[in-house]
Amino acid sequence: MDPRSTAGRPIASPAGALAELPGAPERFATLLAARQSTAARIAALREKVAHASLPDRTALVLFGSWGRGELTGDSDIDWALVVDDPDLALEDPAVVRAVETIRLLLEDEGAPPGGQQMFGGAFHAWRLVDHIGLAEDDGANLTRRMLLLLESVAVTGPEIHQHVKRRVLERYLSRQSRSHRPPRFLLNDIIRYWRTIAVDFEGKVAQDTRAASGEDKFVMRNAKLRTSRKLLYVSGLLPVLLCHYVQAGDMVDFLDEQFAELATDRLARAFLHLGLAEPGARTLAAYEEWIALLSDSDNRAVLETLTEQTRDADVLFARVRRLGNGLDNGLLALLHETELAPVTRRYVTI
Amino acid sequence: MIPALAPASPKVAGHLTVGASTGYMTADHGDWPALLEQAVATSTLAVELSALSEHELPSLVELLEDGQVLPFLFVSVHAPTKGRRLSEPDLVTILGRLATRVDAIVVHPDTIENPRAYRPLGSALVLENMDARKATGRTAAELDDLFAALPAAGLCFDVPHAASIDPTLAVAREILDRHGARLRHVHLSSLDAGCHHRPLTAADEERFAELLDRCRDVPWILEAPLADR
Repeated sequence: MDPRSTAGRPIASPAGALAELPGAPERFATLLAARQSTAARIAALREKVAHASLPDRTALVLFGSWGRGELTGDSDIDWALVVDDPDLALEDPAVVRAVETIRLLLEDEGAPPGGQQMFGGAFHAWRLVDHIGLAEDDGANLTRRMLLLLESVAVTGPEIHQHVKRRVLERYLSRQSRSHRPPRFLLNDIIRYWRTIAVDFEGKVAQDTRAASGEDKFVMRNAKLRTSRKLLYVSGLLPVLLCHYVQAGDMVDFLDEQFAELATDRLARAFLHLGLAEPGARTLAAYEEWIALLSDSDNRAVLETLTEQTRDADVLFARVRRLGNGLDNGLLALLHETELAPVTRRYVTI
Repeated sequence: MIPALAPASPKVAGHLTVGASTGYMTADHGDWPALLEQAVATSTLAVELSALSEHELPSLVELLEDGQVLPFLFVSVHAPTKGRRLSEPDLVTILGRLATRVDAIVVHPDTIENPRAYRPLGSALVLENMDARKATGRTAAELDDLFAALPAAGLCFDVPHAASIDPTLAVAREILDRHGARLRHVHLSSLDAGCHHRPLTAADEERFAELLDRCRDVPWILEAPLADR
């Protein structure tokens, strides 16, 4: 069966799609409120850094829950100064000063980036574009490139931010792009990123065990893998698979439009377009409940004290597991029980 | 695609999460290893462990508490509806021991005396809409008060039960319209004239298709074996 039955029906922009699902806006009150508060915090940040002296052709970009529009009380602030001038060395005093200034300005905005050195400093945009695959495309480069596409927002230099995203997409589609063929290069990299996260999860478990640090982040990491991480992955996968309905010449613009919007809107649009409005609403309502749960510091505290050994007897973790399963089943239905199923089988499986 | 179900119904077999209820495996009731073996032969993706008679509950609790890891991705437990001797609070206490171990605990509305007594089950609790023989819990309106008293509870949508109330399926549609946000899983079969679960017929499969399309994101539990057609 040729699944291009909706070829004549354009896929609308994802903008605002969450609010089009059944039961909105009440059903997604937490997510919609988080969007508003994230936007307000970003606007305040723009004022805060307005007078900072940042080098030309740079953009201060936020990732993670800031980029997803899902700020909760205890969110980290993953930031980076993206340098789009290949002649400007990261060791240049102007860049070093800018990074230090940003660090000071953002230190009371949330917990600083984690210890893997992916964020909280400067990196060159050209590395994201020119090093895709092979040894120089290390974990940090892959993560930065993927999160730039999937969940990022510019505080300064929005045109630089947009330009870099566009160049990344063009690079993925530069060698071959055929009408109605999901671009495999980009698809493979998105899949690789998700698999890397999942494999690294196990690596961190082993690392924590060896270090015997007394810190047990297993349950919170596991909960995020089941929810936020998985949602982000599928929100990246879908626009690429939806290229099945797009002409080659329109593909970069289509992906650009998709990745300009929030992950939850991208998913909501796919559910709506593929005729699964009700299951889509339930799926995103499960995510809404996860974000609401995470916004409560008492819940976070419980999840942070549970261990792999104690979680299965815990009522809160049982609830998280149910939400994760609800999300899982909805996303799988979207990929495998709609007219997109043949595309999923053809492109994602092997 | 679930191979064991494919000859009977490619459409049902093609749903991502389908499984059997041990309720229809009447010859082996009480023999949990034998029931699990039969359920696994149908599907390893989902199962409903049915303790319809209260005397089956202690051995089911023992099975689930002994730490044995079951192969299924989705496990629900059907709470007793027959042979009830336990007081409602005692029953809820026992079911509560399973709340962190299974994905759902299915309770029939007509067995509930005091809805609030079930609150400790939280989001593990799912209420099933009833068939035409029952006095309550049959329609969207009859479920309203229960869900109001149990805000965390989910819905187990029994498709043939709703169809037994109203063959036009208007009642079924209304249940999904009104309570679909709570949907957690589906019960699927046909019914005979006495409202007993029977293998899903091709005609019912066709008739129920519009409803099942609205339930693509949840597990479907077969309450009767799928017969080859």
